[in-house]
Amino acid sequence: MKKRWKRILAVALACTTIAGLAAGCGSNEKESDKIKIRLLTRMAGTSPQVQIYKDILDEFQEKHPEVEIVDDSQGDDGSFNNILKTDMSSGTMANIFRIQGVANLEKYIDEGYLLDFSPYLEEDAEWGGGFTEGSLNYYKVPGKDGIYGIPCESGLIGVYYNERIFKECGIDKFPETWTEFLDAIDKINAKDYTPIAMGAKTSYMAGHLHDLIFYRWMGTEAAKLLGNRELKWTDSDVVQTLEFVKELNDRHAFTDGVVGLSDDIVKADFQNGKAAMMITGPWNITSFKNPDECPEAENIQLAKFPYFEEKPEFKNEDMQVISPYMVNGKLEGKELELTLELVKMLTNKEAAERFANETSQLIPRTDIEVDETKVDPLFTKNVELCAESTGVAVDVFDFDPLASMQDRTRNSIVSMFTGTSAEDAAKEIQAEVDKGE
Amino acid sequence: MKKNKITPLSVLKYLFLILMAAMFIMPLLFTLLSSVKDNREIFSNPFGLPEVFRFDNYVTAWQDANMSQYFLNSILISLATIVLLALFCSMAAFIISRFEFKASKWVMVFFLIGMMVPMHTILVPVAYIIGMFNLKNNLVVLVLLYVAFNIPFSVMVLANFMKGISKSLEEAAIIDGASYFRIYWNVALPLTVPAISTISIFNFLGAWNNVLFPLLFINDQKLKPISLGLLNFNGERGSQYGPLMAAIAITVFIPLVIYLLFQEKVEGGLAAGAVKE
Repeated sequence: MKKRWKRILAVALACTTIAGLAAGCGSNEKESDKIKIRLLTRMAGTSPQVQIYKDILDEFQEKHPEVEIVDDSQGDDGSFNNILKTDMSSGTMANIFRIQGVANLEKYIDEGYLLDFSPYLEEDAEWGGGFTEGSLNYYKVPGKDGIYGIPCESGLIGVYYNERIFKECGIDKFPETWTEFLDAIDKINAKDYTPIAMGAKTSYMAGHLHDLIFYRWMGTEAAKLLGNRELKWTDSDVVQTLEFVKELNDRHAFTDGVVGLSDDIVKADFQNGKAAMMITGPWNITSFKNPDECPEAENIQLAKFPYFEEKPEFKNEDMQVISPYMVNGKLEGKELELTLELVKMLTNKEAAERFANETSQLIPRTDIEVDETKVDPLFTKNVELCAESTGVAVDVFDFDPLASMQDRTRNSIVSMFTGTSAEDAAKEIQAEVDKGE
Repeated sequence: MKKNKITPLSVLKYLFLILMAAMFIMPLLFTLLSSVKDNREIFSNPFGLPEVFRFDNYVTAWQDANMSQYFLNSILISLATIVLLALFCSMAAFIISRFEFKASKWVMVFFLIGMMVPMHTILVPVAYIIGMFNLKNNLVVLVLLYVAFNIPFSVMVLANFMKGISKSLEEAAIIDGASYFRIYWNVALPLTVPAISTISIFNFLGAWNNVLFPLLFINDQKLKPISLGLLNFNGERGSQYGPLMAAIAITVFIPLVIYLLFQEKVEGGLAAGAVKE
């Protein structure tokens, strides 16, 4: 009997060992020869932008058969963050990746996760010299020398509006000032349309609205002052920016039950002519102008967010989207060389022109030739409005060294839609800052 | 023949049951309806019939998003997981429930402690080990991970079930000269089939639906399971919900069929072991 049990145990152990060995050997054999370039970006899904991105990866693969490209890019926030956090914790960062924010990059730089692009931008003037100065400066991290991100997307966050609804409500031109804006909201409400398509369940929408108001009221530099603690969220001017968001909600600028709605639902309302305005970026232009997707396609127009009469100096302090590619600072030799080559292929003049002409995605370069016959007028308008900007910033929390501020600020802003006062929301955000300090 | 009387209470009962049935069927109905619509229709008329039935969403899901390959991978992974778990856990459960030795209770506690470890808390060390030994993109490793995480629950259910099996059967086998392995294989195991079915259903669903492990440890397109395939439709700024819902409908189909086939055994297995001899 004893012998039999011993035999069973031996077989079980042998099986486990063989399985383990098979597991290990399988991977080694496959991966040993090739240089692997792993990407962890947000370029996933089925959009036309993603198709171009994939085409470029294929072109690179064809050019370098000795390289194995592994694209781990995720469209879903949670999945992306799970991979990024695990990569960081286990020290297996992708070659090309993306981290949201600027001020919070300091710790990643200290740990050697981020490559300083400055020498490579200087070395290849044709590629490096083509980026707009402002977009590269955005990735100069406070307290650090160098440029730590290559911008792969930019564009104005503006107000896309339905001209037909505006005319039906007796509004001849898009409101330029806050007072005119509030007046327009009342008129739109009177005709039973939703003034602003807002889905606060996707909290970035509420966050972007506050960003726009913040920059118009205090300017883009004020975000940096909040980040370096020269300003507090509980300062009266900052509270006032939150108060303006609350004022819009109290004026029924959004659909009832705004907190339970996602961006996709309210986007459909805007496309179907139920909502008069939507605050978003140029990535939505292709879907706004596609009649199959958007029955109101021919009525959609673009304008800048209104400014405050009391603060004309911040009239062109704009929110723009700027998304980067970052490169693992620990790469060396051939792997680094090839990774940089791929980043260049994704962001050079040819790529920028393809993205702009075919998908209305703007890589912030000065050397691109936009084909007026191919691009949508809304895209041209977006580029024109971008050129008027006197100050540019992305989200207010981008300048905050605390990584938790993205969730904290957005959640507190959304809480105002369910009754929290602007003062309490400000206190809640400031408490997070104090806790972090 | 006795006729059931309609009483206010029975009407209330049926109303409640109808309401519950509607609540459970709604998400499935929404998924099926949305799988033949485009984004605009899904959001403007979520529960209405589509203007045009877009069955091509299923073709897009199956072909363009490589779902056929993912589907096969998921079946392989899930089947390997349930077979290994059924084998190893029934052995462990047999020893724990049928043998009286000093540490038997502690062995059971050891397995139960495993249930208290949340998956997320050990992700980093697991990721570190997998990175260190170059074990990414390996389905055997993925299966072993699923097996490891499902052992506690499976051992608990099987051990409780086996405790309820009559000892006289074992004693009869011993008198007939059966070895311990033979008792396990020919007596205990056949009688434990309802409980094995139960854990197999749960383990199958766990492996089939798991996103986290393959997300972190599988990035080879040829090895991805179906749960990762669904993410292919998610974009940073919007998704194509028609093909996504079609993919979900395909994904849900297999577990649904398996559940319907083994429904009685699952329910029986869960209840078993509650009352001892």
